[in-house]
Amino acid sequence: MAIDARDWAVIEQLQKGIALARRPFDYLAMSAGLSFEEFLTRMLRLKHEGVIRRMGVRLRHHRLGVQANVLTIWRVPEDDVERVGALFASVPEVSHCYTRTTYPGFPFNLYAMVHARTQAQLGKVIRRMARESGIKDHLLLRTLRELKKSTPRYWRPSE
Amino acid sequence: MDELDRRLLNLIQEHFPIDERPYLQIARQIGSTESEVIDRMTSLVERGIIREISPVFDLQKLGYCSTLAALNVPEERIDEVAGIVNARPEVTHNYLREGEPNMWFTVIAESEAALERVLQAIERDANCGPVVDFPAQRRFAARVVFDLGGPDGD
Repeated sequence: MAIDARDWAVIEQLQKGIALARRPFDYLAMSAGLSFEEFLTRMLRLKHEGVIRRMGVRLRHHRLGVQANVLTIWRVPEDDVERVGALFASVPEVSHCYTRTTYPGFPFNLYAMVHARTQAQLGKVIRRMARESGIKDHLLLRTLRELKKSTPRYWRPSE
Repeated sequence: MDELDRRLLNLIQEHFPIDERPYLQIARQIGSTESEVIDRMTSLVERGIIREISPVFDLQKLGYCSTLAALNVPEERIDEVAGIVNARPEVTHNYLREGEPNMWFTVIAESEAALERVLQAIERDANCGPVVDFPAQRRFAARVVFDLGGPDGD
């Protein structure tokens, strides 16, 4: 869909966050210079078109006991990527799963981020992924330190 | 956290209502009142469980580009290089990981050309070998939603 200047006004305001007030969108609509009705209609359309992928809150998962996570990378034969990618995406503990560029000496083409409450559960999930996919060649890139974590911000592109 | 908090979080992780009175809609779905939903969410924000109430956008549909990139940084330069990488507003996440390369970061930019410029600038400023670019080709899953389970937390 084409995103016009008024859509961008809605997008920019929503990124400021939704207030804990009875009518939280009134203030955002005012700041966007739009009527409340137009703001809501545009928001619904952005959601319908998938520009807004998810309307929701972002949580700090470690505060909820989801404390173990690891980036797993897998070497999957090209003609099997479709099956394994779909399989991993169906695992509830997998949040992100993408295929990515490989390099000579770095042949891992499928990346899956796995989360669990404990290291033991994490290990169990990964062993199950290996068993069910039949992919033996994989590495766990454990996090040693989180160096930066921020919410992406989007602005109307400068022409 | 009690059962109502869990029901609340399970719902609003994915389905924050687009409505004049979103907290009233939430209250109706979990069997509560608008003011109780607002009070409980306020408390969850204060306790640091809710980080932010805002939508997740599809960056490609907004015309943005992104990639995962990595540097192999010698142990003694990790803090210094992390400072250089993190200073770029285009870098949204950065993790020190086991193995080689060891510093993995995600970058977003308005165009492929802008993305390339950011990677080149990081490579120049970090001065510890090439920035290796691992752009995504296919997305199978991208969600950060967790089932908080029932009263037993399982």
